[in-house]
Amino acid sequence: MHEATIAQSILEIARLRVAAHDGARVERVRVEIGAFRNVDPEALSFAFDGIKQDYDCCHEARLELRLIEALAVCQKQRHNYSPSAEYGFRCELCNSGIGELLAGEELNVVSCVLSTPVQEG
Amino acid sequence: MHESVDQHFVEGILRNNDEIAEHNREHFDESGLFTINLMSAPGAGKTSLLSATIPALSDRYRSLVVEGDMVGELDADRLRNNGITAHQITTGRSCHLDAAMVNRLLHHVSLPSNLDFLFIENVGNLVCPAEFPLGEHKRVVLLSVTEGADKPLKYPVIFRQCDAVIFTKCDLLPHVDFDLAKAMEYVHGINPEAQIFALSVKQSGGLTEWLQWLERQIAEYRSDRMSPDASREEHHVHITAG
Ligand SMILES: Nc1nc2c(ncn2[C@@H]2O[C@H](COP(=O)(O)OP(=O)(O)OP(=O)(O)O)[C@@H](O)[C@H]2O)c(=O)[nH]1
Ligand SMILES: [Mg+2]
Ligand SMILES: [Zn+2]
Repeated sequence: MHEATIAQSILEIARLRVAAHDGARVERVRVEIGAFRNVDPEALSFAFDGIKQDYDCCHEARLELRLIEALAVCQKQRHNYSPSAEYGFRCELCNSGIGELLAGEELNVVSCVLSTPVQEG
Repeated sequence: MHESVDQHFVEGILRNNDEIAEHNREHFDESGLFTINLMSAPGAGKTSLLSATIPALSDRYRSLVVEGDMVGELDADRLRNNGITAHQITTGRSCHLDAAMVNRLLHHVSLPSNLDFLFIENVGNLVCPAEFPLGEHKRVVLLSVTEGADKPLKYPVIFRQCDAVIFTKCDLLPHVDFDLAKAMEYVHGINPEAQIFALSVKQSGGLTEWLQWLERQIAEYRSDRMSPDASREEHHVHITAG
């Protein structure tokens, strides 16, 4: 249910980016979401399309989501592995738990595609 | 004529919340207020735990509670009826507290200077609160034995990010098929460092280990604050965005 807040923050970031370019509009916003973030992609896209009308220069913006799988280093033996609920998020080689997450905690805007007017002549 | 310009950068989407959380942390640290964010599903026993914990600490520590609820002041009133000082934050449609809500409270309420613990009871929810650090020093997640031992597997994010997990309502263990050993194993798979407590507010002495943990945590916090080269880095709020 916090996806609306996240959609607002994304549009806020896009609006600030586009504001630096006269007459530009936002075509696309790319966002990466790690598997270890509580963000539901569908709910986020829905929220984004529902509120983008309220943001200048973002009325036609499309949200592109990149989902990033979790990658962990196990706590005991530092094996790299992909933690999954199926194995209790444990390392399949040595059964130890998650030591660190190398990937999966991302929640970032990574690019904005702006459509800017070209000066003729 | 238009042309497309692709701008690449990395900007944390919840950076704004994280920055306000750091600001809150500075407030807490200025007054040496050790702050704990309590999170759980609705009804896991957060308010009951506070009602039992704070009086048990009261001969040596002064505590304050901030209650987060979507509506009303029911929980704050419950605590006040037990002689506990509680401030309510009503979140309205929001299913979690965020750092700005806590910040507004900090700027409106004058906190007594001699406080030790601040307990923030988050809105009952195992999903959204995990995304919004408030500036707390420690995070504690409650899971009642009536909810089922598999919950850590279903809500790994909140269990990954916490410092301690409390299995509550353990007086009910004989009546439910909650496998305590399994539940611990699940928590430790996700978060091997998490402290785990199993307790009941209905049983005398049930809180002993939890109370000892709280005392150790506040003692560590204070000795870190005393040491001159205590690095701020180590005590930064949890920020995951790369
Ligand atoms: N048997 C038993 N019941 C408990 C225990 N702790 C809490 N309860 C009961 O569980 C119910 C919910 O407890 P609360 O303390 O209100 O839970 P909460 O997490 O604060 O609830 P919300 O703030 O609404 O999310 C109440 O009826 C409590 O009496 C316990 O240790 N044993
Ligand atoms: Mg409560
Ligand atoms: Zn391993």
